[in-house]
Formats: sequence, structure tokens, C-alpha cells
Amino acid sequence: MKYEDIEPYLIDFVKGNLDEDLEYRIRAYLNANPDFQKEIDELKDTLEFVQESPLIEPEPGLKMEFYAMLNAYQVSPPTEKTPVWTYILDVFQSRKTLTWGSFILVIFLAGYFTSNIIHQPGTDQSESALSANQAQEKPSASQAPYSEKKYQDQDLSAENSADEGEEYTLSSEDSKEPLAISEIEALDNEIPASGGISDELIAFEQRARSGEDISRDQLIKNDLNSDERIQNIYTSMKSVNQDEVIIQALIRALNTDPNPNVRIAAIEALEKFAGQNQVKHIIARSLDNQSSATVQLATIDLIVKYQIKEGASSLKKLLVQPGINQTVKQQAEIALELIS
Amino acid sequence: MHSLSDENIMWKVCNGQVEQLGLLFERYHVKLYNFFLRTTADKELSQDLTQNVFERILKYKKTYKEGASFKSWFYRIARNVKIDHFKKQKMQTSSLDEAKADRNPSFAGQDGPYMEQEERIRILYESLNQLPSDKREILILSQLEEMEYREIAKIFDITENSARVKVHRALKSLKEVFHKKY
Repeated sequence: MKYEDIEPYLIDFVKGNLDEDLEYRIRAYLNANPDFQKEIDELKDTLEFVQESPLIEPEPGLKMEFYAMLNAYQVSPPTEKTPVWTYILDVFQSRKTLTWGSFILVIFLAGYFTSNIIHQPGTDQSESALSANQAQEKPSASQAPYSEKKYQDQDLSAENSADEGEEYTLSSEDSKEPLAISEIEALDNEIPASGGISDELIAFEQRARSGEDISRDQLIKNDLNSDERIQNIYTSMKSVNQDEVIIQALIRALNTDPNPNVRIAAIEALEKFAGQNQVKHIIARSLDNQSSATVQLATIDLIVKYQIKEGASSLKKLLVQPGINQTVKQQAEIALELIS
Repeated sequence: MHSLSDENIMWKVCNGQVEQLGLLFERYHVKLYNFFLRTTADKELSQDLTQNVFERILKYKKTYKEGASFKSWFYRIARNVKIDHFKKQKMQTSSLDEAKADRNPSFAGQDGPYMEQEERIRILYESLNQLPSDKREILILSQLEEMEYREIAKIFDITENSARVKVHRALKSLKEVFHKKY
């Protein structure tokens, strides 16, 4: 047997992955060529060295950028349009229609330039004046009292149909509307907090959910589109002066934002604070409110990574949810084992 | 472990369920990042290239054929993204050596239990960077990404037997570099 014949199988030989026949043939070659043992030993050492090198985790920004990109794609997917020029060329390809084509083109161009002159900045004062009046009549969302703001938010969501369209699903469960703040508070009343949680912690969580303390940062403003909300979260991750305001805003986004991509961005950003017990507690509890499989998976990841033992009850609840996504179910089962 | 195969998920992405790409991202982004990190020794660039791969998947999702190995298709895109990047930057593979001092993942000055592990990574990266691009990639895919020979063969457009030989020779080259340096 020649070296060329056994060369393709040497790595598998070293790893012990060969069938009996091939292994016998290589051992026979080794017996006939004792010097070859040195090459095998070196190959083994090099393989061990390469394989024992661990994977390096990328920066959290990578995930943020990916989900922002995915979100942007979902909001405005590129469309394949036939260029207008092809229609014009089709017209001109026919000699009979050449005259008519030229005539239409001249009319079109004349109309286009006339329209441009009319709509030059500064000439359309009536329109801009109308917008200014409308702005004055309609108080901004930040100025409105809370009860009014609720209705304004509804208006905004109705106007921003793109945001509705970007809500994505992994299972039929995901089509559920995310809980409103009041519904989450009601849910909190139904589900007693797990033992050992201080009043301070409960107060912190309530403040986070109501957003009452968020005046300075306005991290996740409802009048921003989801891309801007994700971008704000991403910016918050880079902020040097992390404080309770940011955490509260992130928690609020995690529990109430209608867009799952924003909720994922929020949980990614919250990871920075996952060393804090109160944040751990909120991450665990937030699993109860999540209907998007992707957000559930991201939350489970954090529960495992930071060994959030109080997440066990949320995981158990999740496992008995009807229509649970199979991947989520598997990950939840694994997570339960890993944190117990 | 995964209830849905990569191929099934990718097929869903092809058919408009682009949100499913999130699952593939979760499965592959760390490995892909490490593939780039080990072939370029540049953390920032590796992040950008990883992002570019997923952007390209979305852009060219229709080129994925039902039932085709996702992994092979995915790493083909990854290789193309890297090649295109260096073409664009007019960088030669050899220039990696010149720039490695700047772009090598640096763990200098850190103490603690990870030091030995980090030193090992540094040595591996420096040795890998001494290899030609093809050898480096095939080695990373086979030994670090644990890809099967038939998948590697598809990525490099060679026979499975040839893939086996190339992996072995790349490993031998790495050993020689390693022994020269250390």
C-alpha cells in the first residue's frame, strides 16, 4: 500500500473514526514503515492543539445590528420593479408609434419640470403652514397626561401601519397582541411574586413597567419607529453612565414594546446589567409575558447564562403553554436542567 | 437538539418567512464569527463580515435550492464575502502577516484563569496566519467548525477524497509553522 492511498484517511485514523478495514490497512503500512509513527504522533499533537481552542463570543453589537437589519428588511423589503425605461423603449421600438411616443415623452417631461418648479422649497407655503397649524393644535405625546397619551399611542400605532406589519411570528402563539401596561400590572396581581422579593424590588419593577421615572432618557419613545427604538437601545449599550433610568426603559421595552425585534434588542442590552439581582428577577419574570418564540429563546439563553434559578417557575409555565414552539420547548427543558 | 433542520428553516426564509433567519443567525453567528476571526485575525472586520453574510443571504435567498446542504451554501457565501472584501480593499492575503500585530485578537495584559487559554488562541491565530488562505480556510472548516468532508468538498468544488488530502496537508503545514515559531 502506498502513502498516497492512506493519506486521505490519516486524520480519521488519528481520531479513531475509521472502519476496521481501513484501520488495519494503515496499521499494516505503519508496521512496514516504523518512521511513519513520528508523523502520526505529530499529527495527533497538532490536532489536539487546534481542537482545544475555544470559540470566542462576538460583541453584543453584532446581534443588535443583525436584528436591526432584519427588521428593516421586513419593514421595507426590496421590490423587483421593471424599469420605466423598458416600457418607453418598447414604445419606441415600433416605428408606427414613434411620433406618438415622442409626443407623450415631451408632454411627460414638460409636466415633470413644471411640477418641480411649482414644488420647489419655499413655494409651497400653504402646505407647510397647514402642517404647522396642525402641529400646534395637536399636543405632543410627551406633553399629554398619561390617560390621554394612551389614546395617542393608539392613534400612532394605527397611523404607523409599517410597524404593525413588522411584527413577526414563529408560531401561532406569536400573533397574540403584546400585553398593555395595565394588563401586565393585572397579571402581576394574579401571580404572586416569588418568595424573598423585597418591597424595594417590587417598586423598582413597577416603576420600570409604568415608565413613570423615564423623563430624561426617553429611550424607547412610542413615537419612534422600531428601527429608531432599536438604535436607541444599541446606543444605550455604549453609554458609560448606565443608571436605573436606562434599565427601567429597557425593562419597559422588554415587557411592553409591540415589536419583537425591539424586545430582543432590549434583552440583549439588559444582559449588561444581568449581574444585578433585580434585573435577574425581571428577566426571569418577563418570560411570562413573551409570546414571540425568538424573544422567548433569547430570554431562556440569559436565564441559563446567568444561572437565574428563579426562572425555573417561568420555564415550567412556558412548557405547559398550548401551542408552544418546539424549539422553545426543547430549549426550555434543557434550561430547566441546567439551572436546577 | 433542533426540531427544524437548517435546510427547512432556510427554505421558509426563501418563501418569504424572513423572520426565520433569526433562528439560523442564533445557530451560526458565533461559529461564523470565529471562522472570520481565525482567517482574518481581526475582530472588528469579523463582525462586519458576519453581518454581511446574513445580509447577502437575505439578498440572494432565492438562489438557495430546496434540499441543498445549508451549511455548504452558507460557507460558500462566507468565503465569497471575505474574498470580495479583500478584493475591494485591494488587500493581498500576504498582507495579513504585515498587519497581524494590529489585528491579532489581543489579550495582552490580562491576568487570571483564562490567560493560558488566551495564549493558546493567540499562538493558533499567529500560526494560522502563516498559512495560505485556502489551507487556512479548509483547516478551520474541517477542524474548528467540524464540517464533514463532503460539505467541504462542495464549498471548494473538489472531490471528497481531495478534501481529505487537502485537510491533512493543511494540518501538516500548520504543524511546520508551529514548530518553526515555537
